[in-house]
Amino acid sequence: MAQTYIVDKDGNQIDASTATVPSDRHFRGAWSLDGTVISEDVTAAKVIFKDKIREVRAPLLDAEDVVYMKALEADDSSAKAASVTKKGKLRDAPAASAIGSADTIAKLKAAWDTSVLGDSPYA
Amino acid sequence: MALTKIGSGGIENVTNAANATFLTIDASEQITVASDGGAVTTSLQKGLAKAWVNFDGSGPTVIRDSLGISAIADLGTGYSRLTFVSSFSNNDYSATGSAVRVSGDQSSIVMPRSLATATVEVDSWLENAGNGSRTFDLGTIGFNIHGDLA
Repeated sequence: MAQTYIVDKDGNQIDASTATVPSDRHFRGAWSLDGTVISEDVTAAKVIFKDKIREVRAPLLDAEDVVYMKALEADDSSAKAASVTKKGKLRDAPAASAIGSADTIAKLKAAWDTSVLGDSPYA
Repeated sequence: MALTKIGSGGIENVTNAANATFLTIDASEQITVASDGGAVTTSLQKGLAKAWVNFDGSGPTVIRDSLGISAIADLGTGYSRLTFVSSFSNNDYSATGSAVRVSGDQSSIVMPRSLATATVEVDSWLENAGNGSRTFDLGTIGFNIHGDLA
């Protein structure tokens, strides 16, 4: 039978059957091998986390554009302001301070702002 | 015509009323067989899949079944490297992938990323309707390689 291996972000390889791996693959691109243990590099994980935010927010921004256009057509200033505020939060989401200050994977996952981005993919 | 058995005493039960050549083995052991309709011939070796695999890439890589594959390396999200038992004579082989669809509004895509004589790297993607595509750890990946072994 064919063998299976795991290669970490730096190209280090280990027989998969001998490796201790993280509990999930959310930050697969941040895996780092030390001996037989694979851990997640928090700095690399933050890059993946921010990319995930950008992926999730894209359709939300598109939908908010529609909301704004309707508010514009209705000349509804409060609705326009609310939409602008919401779009601003979506644009700023990858720069949230909780992401920058997270020093563990658990804290990074907890930095997902459900009030802006909806359900967390890490829950 | 019928070739039903090759036993210790040689080829048995061969009949060929039409007196047509239906199988040829040349000096270099290349086998040519008649086509289904008998109008042409085709190379048996070239027509065989030299390597194939069905594996689960959604978690730790699990190989369900394979032929001609000695190893699979998990290189990242939706990114694997297959190592062949026997190397190909060149990297002009044909590599094709398939996957089981994840859900109704998503498309699963499996394709080669790079071809080498001893390995092939494979990408798997998930395309969301109206929301772009991204590399994804698919649960059922099939990959087949046709070409010339060394």
